[in-house]
Amino acid sequence: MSSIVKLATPLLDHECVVEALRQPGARCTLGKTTIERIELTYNGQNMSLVKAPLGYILEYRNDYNRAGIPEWLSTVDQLYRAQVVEKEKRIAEEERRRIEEEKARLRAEQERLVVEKARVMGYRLDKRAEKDGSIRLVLVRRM
Amino acid sequence: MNEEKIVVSIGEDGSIEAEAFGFEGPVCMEKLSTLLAELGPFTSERHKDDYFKGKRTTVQRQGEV
Repeated sequence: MSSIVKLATPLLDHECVVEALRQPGARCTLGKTTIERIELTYNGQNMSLVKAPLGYILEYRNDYNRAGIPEWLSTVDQLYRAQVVEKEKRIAEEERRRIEEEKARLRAEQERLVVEKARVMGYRLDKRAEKDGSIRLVLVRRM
Repeated sequence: MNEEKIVVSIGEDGSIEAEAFGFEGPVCMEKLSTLLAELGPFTSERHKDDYFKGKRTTVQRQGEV
């Protein structure tokens, strides 16, 4: 007689869980993967990670040899934590890049407004220099 | 030939500094205000000696009358 074992895990972020399971150190084969359910095979055992509010729940039938599953889960958890750190770095870098792009867009718009208004006022752009992200405009009007 | 020059520096963070050359009196502030009107209010002003030249002239003229 067999039953289903359900084991709570600290694995929470779907993307990081899948990436962790794809690492060679996870020693498993990924099957069908959705946010709600991740199918995998470890050591010949079919298992599922099922999404729950506090973290994925590992489900497997207890008629298999369960030896090594806690150790395996611990390894997956370490791989998962590494993926979380990488993801956080990636998000921070993307945010930094987004802010830089927004600043560059703002500077370009400011420059356009200044040069346009200067022309209306009778000034011409005599020099333009850019250094370290700053822009210097020299506007001249001869009378 | 007289020349009016305005140097505008747009900082990396979007801050703007503007400096006027070849003006006398408060007209430089009027020009800068007009030029930068759409970019928000000034947060600080620093007047050079030329800014006060026009004012002194005006005061002197009033004293002469």
